[in-house]
Amino acid sequence: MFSKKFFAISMLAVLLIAIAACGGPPPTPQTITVIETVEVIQTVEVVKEVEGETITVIETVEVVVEKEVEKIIEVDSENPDAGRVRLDTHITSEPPSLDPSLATDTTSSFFIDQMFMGLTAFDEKANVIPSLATDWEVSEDGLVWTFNMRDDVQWVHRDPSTGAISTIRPVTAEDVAFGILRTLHPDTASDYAYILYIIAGAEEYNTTDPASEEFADLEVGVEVIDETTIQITVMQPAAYFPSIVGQATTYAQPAETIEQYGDNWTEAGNIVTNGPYTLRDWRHSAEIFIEKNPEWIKADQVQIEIFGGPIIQEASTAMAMYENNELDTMADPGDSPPLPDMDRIKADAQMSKELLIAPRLCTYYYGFVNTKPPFDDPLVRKAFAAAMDRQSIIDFVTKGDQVPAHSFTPPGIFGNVAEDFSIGGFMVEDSYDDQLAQAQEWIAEAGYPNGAGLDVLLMHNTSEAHAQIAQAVQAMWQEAFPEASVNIENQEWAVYLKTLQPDSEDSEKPNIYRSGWCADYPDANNWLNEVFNSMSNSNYAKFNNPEYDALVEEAASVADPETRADLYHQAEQILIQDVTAISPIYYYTFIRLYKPWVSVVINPVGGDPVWLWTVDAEAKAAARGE
Amino acid sequence: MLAYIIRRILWSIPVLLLLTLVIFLLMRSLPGGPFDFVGDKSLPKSVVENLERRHHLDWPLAWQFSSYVLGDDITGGICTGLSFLSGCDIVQSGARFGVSRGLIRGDLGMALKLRGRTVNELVAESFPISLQLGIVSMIIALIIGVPLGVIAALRQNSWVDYSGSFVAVLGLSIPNMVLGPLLIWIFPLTLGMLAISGWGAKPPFFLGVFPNVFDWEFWKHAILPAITLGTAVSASIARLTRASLLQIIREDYIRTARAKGLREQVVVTRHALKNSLIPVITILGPLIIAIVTGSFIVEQIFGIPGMGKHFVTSIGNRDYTVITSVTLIYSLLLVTGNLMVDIVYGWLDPRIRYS
Amino acid sequence: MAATGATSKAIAVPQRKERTPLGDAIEQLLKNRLAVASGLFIVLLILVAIFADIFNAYTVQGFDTTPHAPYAIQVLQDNNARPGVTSNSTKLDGFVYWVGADNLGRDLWSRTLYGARVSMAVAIVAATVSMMIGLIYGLVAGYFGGRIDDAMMRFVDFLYGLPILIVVILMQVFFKAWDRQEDTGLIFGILLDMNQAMGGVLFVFIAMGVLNWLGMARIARGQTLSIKQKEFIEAAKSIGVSTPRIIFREILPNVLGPCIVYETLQIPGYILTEAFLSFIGLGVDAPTPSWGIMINEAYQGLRSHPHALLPPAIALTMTVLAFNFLGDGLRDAFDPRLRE
Repeated sequence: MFSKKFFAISMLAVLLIAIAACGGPPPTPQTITVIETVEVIQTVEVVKEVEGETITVIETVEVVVEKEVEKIIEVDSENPDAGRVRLDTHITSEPPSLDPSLATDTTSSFFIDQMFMGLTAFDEKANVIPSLATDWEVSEDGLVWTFNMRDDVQWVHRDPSTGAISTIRPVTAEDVAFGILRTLHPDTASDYAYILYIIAGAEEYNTTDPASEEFADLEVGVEVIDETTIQITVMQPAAYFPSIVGQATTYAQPAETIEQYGDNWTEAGNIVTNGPYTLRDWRHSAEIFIEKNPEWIKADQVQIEIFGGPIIQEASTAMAMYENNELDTMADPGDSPPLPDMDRIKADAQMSKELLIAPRLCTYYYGFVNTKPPFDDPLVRKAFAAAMDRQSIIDFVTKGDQVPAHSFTPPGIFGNVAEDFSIGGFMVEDSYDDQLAQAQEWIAEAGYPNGAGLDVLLMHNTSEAHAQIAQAVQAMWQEAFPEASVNIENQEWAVYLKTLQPDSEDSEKPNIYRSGWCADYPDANNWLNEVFNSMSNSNYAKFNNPEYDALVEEAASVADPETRADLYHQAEQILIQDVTAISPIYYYTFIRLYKPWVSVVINPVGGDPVWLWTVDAEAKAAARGE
Repeated sequence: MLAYIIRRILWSIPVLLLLTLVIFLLMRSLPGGPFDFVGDKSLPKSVVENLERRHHLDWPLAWQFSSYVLGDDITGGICTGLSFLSGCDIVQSGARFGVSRGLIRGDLGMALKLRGRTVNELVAESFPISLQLGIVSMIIALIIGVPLGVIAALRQNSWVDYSGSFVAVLGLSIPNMVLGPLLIWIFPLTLGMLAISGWGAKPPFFLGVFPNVFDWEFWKHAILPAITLGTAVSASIARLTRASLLQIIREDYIRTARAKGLREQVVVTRHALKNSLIPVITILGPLIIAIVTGSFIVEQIFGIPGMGKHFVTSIGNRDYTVITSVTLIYSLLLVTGNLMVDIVYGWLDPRIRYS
Repeated sequence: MAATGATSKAIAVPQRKERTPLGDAIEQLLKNRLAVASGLFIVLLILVAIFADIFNAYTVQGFDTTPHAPYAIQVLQDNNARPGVTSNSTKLDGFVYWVGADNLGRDLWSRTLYGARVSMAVAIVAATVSMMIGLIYGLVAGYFGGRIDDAMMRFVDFLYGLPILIVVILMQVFFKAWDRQEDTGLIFGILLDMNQAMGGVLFVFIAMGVLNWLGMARIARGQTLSIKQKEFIEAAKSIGVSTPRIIFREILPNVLGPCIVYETLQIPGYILTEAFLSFIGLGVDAPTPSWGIMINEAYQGLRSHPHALLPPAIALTMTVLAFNFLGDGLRDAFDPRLRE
């Protein structure tokens, strides 16, 4: 009796394994029929009028015409892309969205910047350059911006079954207006909609319930003049506005595709794009590939035809694949090389040449909760800011040749004061011993000699990298103020932000918190005003200084660059030197590895222009032993 | 028997529903919401409100739960019928967003952080991968575990038995998070064999689950994680096989077989081994489920896009719907596994009668 | 009541006879060399956990002048020192990294020793909580039987549907989020302090115990069901001994053996769960060392510094192994059917 059942079970098991074995169709070479446009030389008769005379001559000339032909292509299904220039990268996490209105993270933005165009873009020095717009002008009062657009950019669509990329229609000013309004529509629920609040009527439009009656009457200052001209009215003169229209949230979007597919319009096969690349394949949580758009305006300059790779969350795994020549880059949209490998990379004869370190528009800083004793005393804040050996943190912990910071706004941002050491100079003295002596003097002056009586809580969000910096800083403070007690605590990001919110209770807050800020657009307004204005909800330091607020608000509303630079200088003077509301630690760098056969151009703002990159396919194939 | 099974299944529905409610409330009681931040920055209130409205998070909790379980339309219907209930005005104004058709119709809702994606899609992508990993681990565990157990039992109290038992306990004791990195270090890093990470099988899968097993790509990625996950299981299988075989060897009918003068080999393979594997087979189903529900860390180490990975990421993101739904699926698997044990035992051993 | 006390002493006599199997079991256990060695190893580990400061090289050399835990001190200049390297930091003159240093130049040996604290803490806290709940639940269900038993076991069945690891993760997130709330009561305040000393994981240890008592309850119930049929219980009942007294004085000591065996075999699970939480970043706060965190750090740098993986990996595996061997030994000793 047992054996019968045993037999039945084993048969079932065998069946299951057999079924498993049958999975997947065997690969066979395929042939597909494609309709292709080819150039054909034709002989035609032309009637020509000879000048000055009335005789008509019939001449035969050769002209080039485009003709659609059917073509049968044999596809090697094993490797349909043999011979195409390809860059193998990895992707650090599943992009939450490839929708320009919705994307927030660097991975999503990277791909969006390859596939879509905005009115403006940024070059490798973070300057604003024309993109969809050829030029722009602003009215006398600085409130009305008019952008003239090019007319030769096409929307394209890739057919997933044939791989053919075909044009749909030209990109117009309507598409740009549609994109901006879609971002601002409350039902779109775009995270970055607030960056567009500078546009007249935008904030009200974005914050009114669309179900209400008044919503229909709201006006946003975006006006389409004609096919290639768009006019945008802003709330106040904002010299940095051209960089706002280089943000993904303002990119042109294809209304009819979004209408047709709804939330799924960014899936491969549905998506319609206008940039140098288009989406080839997006297997969720597994891999993403983009493919060169042959119809793009500068397609002849684009060398890399296929770009993409697997989604790998662990940097160490990606690093192993990179060293195995399976990946060409350890860089955006993937991870940087892992920290523990930095020493080895720098010591390695080959890899040290592949290492590329470039300035990045971000600042890592420790903020003091300015309202919570004992850090309501500027002297205590200054002492703690001085007792940090920034160079040692960089050399021994972060290891990415970052630059010790003594201002909030990093170099490369309009309005930065990184060259002026009269601001925050005490944080970056040549000799750390001087800093230490100064710190001990200040702490004694504040009434806590050797840190006696200080019980300090330092908090960071859960992350290996932050934990290590915090532990190094903790040790430095312990050394500087031996009688103080410094504790570290970490919280998970969501909780951490809740704790730091300016309207949470001070009793729940730490004394010191870690934070960082990266540029959305390269202007100090994005830093000094949007972060430390007393009204800002990123102002976790609860820094509240009316003079400072007045300075940064004025800087936001004047157009003259010199005046603005001066106002930001004064603001930094207060924030860092006079009251030391925060302690900047370092300006970030990009830490990347590129194989020697890849040559790249890096953009500090927005995604890197992959269309300017090149791959030496021969060298790559040789290295891989192909 | 059938009545018993039906009763068990019916009984599990309120259990799962209650569990869903508990997780639902637990998640929402955590500080911080899914839309308080993007990346490294916190968001202005107005933007958060838009996002919350978009996903019905502005609704009172009871209505949110109703939308998750019953769907938007039924919840809206209740509100139309019983408009005096508190919060109904908000429910009706938010009805224009189709968020969920409800658990009762198999809709697990919309993911909050991965914009525009449904949890059903996420599960459909990731669950087959977790299951494949589970099945391969199981196969490896059987290949290692059964022979080990048999040899140990046949050479009872010899050094083979002792060292076999020792190896089994060692296998049980070595944690995944130790074995995984060790295997990575030995095979791909030092010897240059097998893949470090990722998953080789690509959809579409046969019957939605089975990959093409003739594809080396699949095995290249599957072997190391499956060994990592299967080692502890193979140790339990070895112990189980040994114990069961030892018991059966002492049974009368084996003694009879021996007395008949059958060769020892025949006795063991024909009679003893076959029957001793029955308890092993009965635990296969539940074991696969146990492996699948416990595979996060292996998925994390080997970068496998399975369900565990979604779960871990969505906790930090406060992606309420993903967490609640994934937990629900895990519980469903667990309940199924427990039921399967009982059914298989009942089927194999008629002495067990369920009432 | 005095009379009852006297009688219960009288009926304790047959119980003495029952001690013989216990003596038997101990004798049996002592014969099992692996189990004995494992037991000694665990005792040693507990000592290490308690006296980690003494074993710590930094303290031995007298560098610890600060009030905070010595495992936080770093010597940045020596980061990623290989095993057996002598420190080149002036502060640690002549100090040798026996098993190497981590990313921040901290001695892996001391950190591994300190890591025993968290692992032993979870073993003790979770096991105690789980055993207390499971025993009482099982005793009550088994003793009263009938409807109470039915209802109580239904509840156990319900909890069996919980994916425990998932619930523990959610609980940990929950506790981490709330432990900064201002404390009110004295006891809660002490708990919070203990929690902080443990790197913020005390509550989740308790939660692990709270969620892991199901098997224990089933065993305790089964044992109680069989023991309550015995004559001495009947005798105690007939002379009016109070129910709690019967349960805790008469039944409990007889049930305890198998329950301890069962719990010992659960401990590796707790230790691994803690390591797992730390591995995915939901465990102890830095700089408190935990083997899970150390393994995660080593895993990140596996290509450059593989030596960092071994100390925590061996420590964790050995500990789990020791508990498994001890548990197996105890089971063999207490369950005569398994004896050859």
